[in-house]
Amino acid sequence: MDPTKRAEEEKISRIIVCLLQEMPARAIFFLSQSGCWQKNPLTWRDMAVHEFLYRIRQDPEAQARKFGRAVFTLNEEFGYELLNKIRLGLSRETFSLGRLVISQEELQAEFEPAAANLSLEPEDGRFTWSLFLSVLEVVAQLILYRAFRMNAAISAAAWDSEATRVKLHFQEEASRWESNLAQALSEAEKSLWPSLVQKIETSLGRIVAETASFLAEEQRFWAALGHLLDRLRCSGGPDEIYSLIREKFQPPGGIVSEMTAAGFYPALCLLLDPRVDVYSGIQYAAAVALSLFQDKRSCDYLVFCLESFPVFWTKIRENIIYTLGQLRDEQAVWAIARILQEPDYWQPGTGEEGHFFPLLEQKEEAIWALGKIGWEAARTIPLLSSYAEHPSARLKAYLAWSLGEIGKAQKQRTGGVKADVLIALLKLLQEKNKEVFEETTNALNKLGLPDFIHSLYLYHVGAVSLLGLKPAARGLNELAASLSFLLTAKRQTVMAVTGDSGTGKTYFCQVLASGFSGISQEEILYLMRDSKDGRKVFNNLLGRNWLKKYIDPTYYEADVEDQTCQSFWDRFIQENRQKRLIILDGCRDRHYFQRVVDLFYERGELDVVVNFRANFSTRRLNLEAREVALESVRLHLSFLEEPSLENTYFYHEGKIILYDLDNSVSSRLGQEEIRELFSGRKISRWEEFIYLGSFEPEEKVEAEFQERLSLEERPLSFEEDQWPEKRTLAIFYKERLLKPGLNEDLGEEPHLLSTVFLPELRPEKIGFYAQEQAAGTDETGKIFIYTLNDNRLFFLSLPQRVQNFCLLGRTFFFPEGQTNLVAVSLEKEEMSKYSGGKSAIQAMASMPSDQILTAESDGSVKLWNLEEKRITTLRLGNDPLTSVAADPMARICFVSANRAGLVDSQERILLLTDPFAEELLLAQFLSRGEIVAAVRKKENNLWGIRILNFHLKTTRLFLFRGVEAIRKMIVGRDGRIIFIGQEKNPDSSPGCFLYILTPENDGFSLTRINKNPSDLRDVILLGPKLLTCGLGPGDEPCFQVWGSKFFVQAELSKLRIKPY
Amino acid sequence: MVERKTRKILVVDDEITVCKSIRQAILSDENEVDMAFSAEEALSKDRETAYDLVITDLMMPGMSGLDLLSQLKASRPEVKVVMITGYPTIRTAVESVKMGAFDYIPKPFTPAELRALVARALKPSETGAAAEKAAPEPKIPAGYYYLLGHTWLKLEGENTGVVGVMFDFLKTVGIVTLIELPKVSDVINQGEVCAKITDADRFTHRIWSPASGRLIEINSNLLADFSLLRRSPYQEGFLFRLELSRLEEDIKGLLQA
Repeated sequence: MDPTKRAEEEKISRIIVCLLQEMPARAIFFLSQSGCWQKNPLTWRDMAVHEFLYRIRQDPEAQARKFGRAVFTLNEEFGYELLNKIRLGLSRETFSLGRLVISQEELQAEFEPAAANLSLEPEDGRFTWSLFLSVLEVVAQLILYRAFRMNAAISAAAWDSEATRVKLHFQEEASRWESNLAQALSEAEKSLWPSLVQKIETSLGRIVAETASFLAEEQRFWAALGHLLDRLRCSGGPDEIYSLIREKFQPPGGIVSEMTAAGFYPALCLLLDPRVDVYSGIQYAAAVALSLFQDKRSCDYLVFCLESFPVFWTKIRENIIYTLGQLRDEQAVWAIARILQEPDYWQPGTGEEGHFFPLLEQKEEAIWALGKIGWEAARTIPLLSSYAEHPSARLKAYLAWSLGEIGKAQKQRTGGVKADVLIALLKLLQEKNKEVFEETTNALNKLGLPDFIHSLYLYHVGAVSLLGLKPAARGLNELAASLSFLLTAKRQTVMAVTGDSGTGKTYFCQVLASGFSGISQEEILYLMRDSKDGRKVFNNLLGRNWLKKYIDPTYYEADVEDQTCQSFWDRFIQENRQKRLIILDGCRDRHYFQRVVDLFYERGELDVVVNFRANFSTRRLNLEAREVALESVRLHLSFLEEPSLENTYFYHEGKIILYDLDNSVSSRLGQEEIRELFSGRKISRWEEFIYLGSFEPEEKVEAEFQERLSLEERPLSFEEDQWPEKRTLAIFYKERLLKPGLNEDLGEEPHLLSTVFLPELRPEKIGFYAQEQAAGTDETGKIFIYTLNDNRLFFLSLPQRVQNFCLLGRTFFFPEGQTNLVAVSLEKEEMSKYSGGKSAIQAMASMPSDQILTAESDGSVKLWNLEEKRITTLRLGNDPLTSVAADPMARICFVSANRAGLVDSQERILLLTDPFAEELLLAQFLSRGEIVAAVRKKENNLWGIRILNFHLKTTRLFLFRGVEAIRKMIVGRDGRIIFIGQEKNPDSSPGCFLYILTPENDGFSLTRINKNPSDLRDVILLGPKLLTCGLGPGDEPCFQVWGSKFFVQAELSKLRIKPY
Repeated sequence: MVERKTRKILVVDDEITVCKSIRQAILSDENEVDMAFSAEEALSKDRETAYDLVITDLMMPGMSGLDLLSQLKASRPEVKVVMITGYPTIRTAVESVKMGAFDYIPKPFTPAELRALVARALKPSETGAAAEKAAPEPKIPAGYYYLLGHTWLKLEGENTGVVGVMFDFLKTVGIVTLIELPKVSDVINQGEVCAKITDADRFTHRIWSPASGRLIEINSNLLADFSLLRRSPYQEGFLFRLELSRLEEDIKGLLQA
């Protein structure tokens, strides 16, 4: 190209770039026919210009070049005069938008573009500007004409009067446009029009077509709304019209989640239309629609609304504030903050009529929006800080997040944080509410004070708080290793992924469900609670009877087949036999998804549970991204898992692999990262880091007696007792930091990992409290919680020694006196006493769901249903019961003197064995239908273990020579039995060994875990570790951690590095 | 034209986000960076590609960073390994350096600090032919305590000590263009940063203190003439004098010449 021409073309492009840069972004501006920027289009011509310029501004450099070339080419081929003539001819008619416009004077604006003066030579520049305006007008008119033609060609059925009316209207508009063109041009000029159009299309074809198509859609939207508004003016009863207008923005009976972009400007017009009654709900619908668009062009108008709408138009204002926050509109700060100067309730002035309106939710939105705006909102810190002692916990959670965001932005800009931010955050730390505490500590973290937070966390007994969780970024690597192991070790693996709404579980599941690490999509069955397929399976698994009790029929009626849950389960398992991985995805609620997870657990099919947790702000941010509409975000924020993970039976048993992960913004992974983690090579011998490892067998134990089991089946009698009186007291616990000592001599004790001495405690019973946490009782009347991760001990002194206890969730239950039951929660710092039992409690256990089982001295078992506040007494015999246990299917096993029994409370059957020759103690479930009991032969004081199979009606007895007592017995997930056997030391002191009894084809093999006997009192299994309590070296009270040799060596190599 | 050799680096951390940010920090035309999420994966990758440098986290599920270090060194003694640790104890440092780690870097660290360490680890050695012609290397005097590869401590009476930089460290840095020292009266702990040295490539290297205490004198001669550091690393080129606060405990973490 000729350099002069190229320079000319570049000059035009520069003018266009400059023009696009100065095009105001916060409102709807267009270039008027005289070449001025004007706000708020009144005609379709103005709309076409605005839409065209707005679209090319999305990619200014490239589009300006194309537009510049078009201007240059048209000028060169058709000349300025013809272009100007078309411009003047066509602009005689601009096609009014009608009634639906923004007409407020306060919102009008007009100014001359600086781009008009941009030129090397002023005169030349003026000419270029005129030329540009002419071409712009021609392009805009072409877009307008195309839109008219599209609408004139829409199909309209004869019966559809509305569509026919619209079609005719646009046919007329198109004809008028054509007639304008015909009048403006001579015959010779008219003949040039097609080639001129072709030239425009060569350079700007795609953008012209897209703009015309959008404009056509807008015109249809406008025509429908305009018609309704005209009817409103004529009609006497506007309610029906109002509802028709609202329906354009909001589907009946649902929360709007998406809208056609053509509704954007009409929504703005309706929001600002003072003629529409606010009680019609139209402004609200418009505000919601604008929150869906989240279009920067609405900012000016929304700020104007906030400044002019009364504060008690709460729902409208909340949506406006939400939108401005999402748009991070810096100029909206004071308009948003204004509500924070108001009281929490609006009330009419003296003598005025009106209602009270709560403004709290509006304030929450305002605080959140200011946090989103960040640095520019720093001016409102004093105002925000004044809310640090507000009574609303939810508001304070919002406040903590916002202060963190603003403080972080301020620190980045200025290098420091205003003291007010820290003072307010410190006040917020005093709040006991978990959400507020988490958000506050996260805010402090954002401000660069992690050490400070850590020291705070250590003094919280809750321990399973978000701050103590493993970040997903790290935990998912371990999950990948566990899944890799399970998928090779098992034919089928079942993984449940749970968490509150908005924690990112579905995002994670969908990545895995598409296949990973050599497992194809076809080998994975992904069942999502919120999907049609998933729900159908779940509904049938739960069965009609269950659903009928808890769920609205509309949610299951069409899905549930006429078969029993058991037959559906069998069919489901059969049909999906080829699936290597089943993923269950959903937010757990007591009467639906929790039950689904329980079903898989009860049937022994559940292998892994992944629970995603996220702080309040993460959930809200996730939901904003997913749901968009504020109302829907709020609705989903209220979906929380119930019961909490720690209170579920599967968690409490500690037998499945569980990942409780923090999936908050700072630790979450993207799609590609998840894929990368799950496709990597896995850690060798990983199973020994998640399950109790292997121990070399020392001795083979043959069953001494194998015999038929004689069973007596008895009907079960139930009695309902009155729920006892409850009295609740406050308690105060103490807290200590312990220092564990690592095993320094593996030759002496190859399975011992660490010992922690307990100067203030003499523990005698322990139970699984939570992941890496144990709870127990001591000889002196203390109950305690021990956290292995940070070696903290929390304890409470009671007036008397606790002989028996069990844990339900994170609450201790134990008997007091002869007949009372006591519940203690260290987390809640409260003790409740249930008084008025009839006989003494001999043993106790917890069982699903939310029930405590007490074995009584009169031979009965009481089921204390804490959820339903009901006591059921089962008469099992006359002998005092010495031990009870429950399984996930709520079956009960028990032993009393020389008999054992199995209770199926659902089938109402009691199976009782004939009396044995030996005394039975310590009953436990071994597997489905099989129980194990410690036994003592009275005649020779020989101890052993009896396994009773109630299905096959067989029993086996294993006797251990030299064992003088079995103090405790537990069963691992793989059927291994771990017990503490007491032997006589040469000095007659009790010497105990920890034994592991491993089932083999023709008997059992027995291994002593500790080489040196000590006074062990109790043992529990924590994943790959065994935790014992008792008296250790030097007869000092201690906890000890044991494991397989491989595990101990691997852990020691790391723990020796890590300072305590 | 001389073709520059690409250096192969492996980053090992169980947290993918940490791996990625380290890779981001050190990725360049000269550095090719791979990632592994466990020590086992790292060993397997190292068998396929002989890496010039392995940067590994100390604490990982399964095999620890120290185990990885010992296995890497057993199979390829020439590989350089940098340990990342969240526990900046002297015990860790000594243990890992004794086992052959090039150095360690405690969390949190900045990308610049990591880049400096990588540059130092991958700097061509001065032990080639050119070095042979040069003057013999100064040897650490007998009786000095030292933190392998970093700093030395010379006791002066019961409570005072002089601290300097090991010549081994200086060799990996090359020409020193700036030395930053703490101020008199500052209190430092063993294993914490006690000086920063900037080299000719503008990389700033952190130096760990061999002992804990309060600074009582800065070597002003050194600040006036940085060449003292290389000319007389164990005498006139010392960094500062310390009033020692935990000598008995600190000495357990040091070696003696």
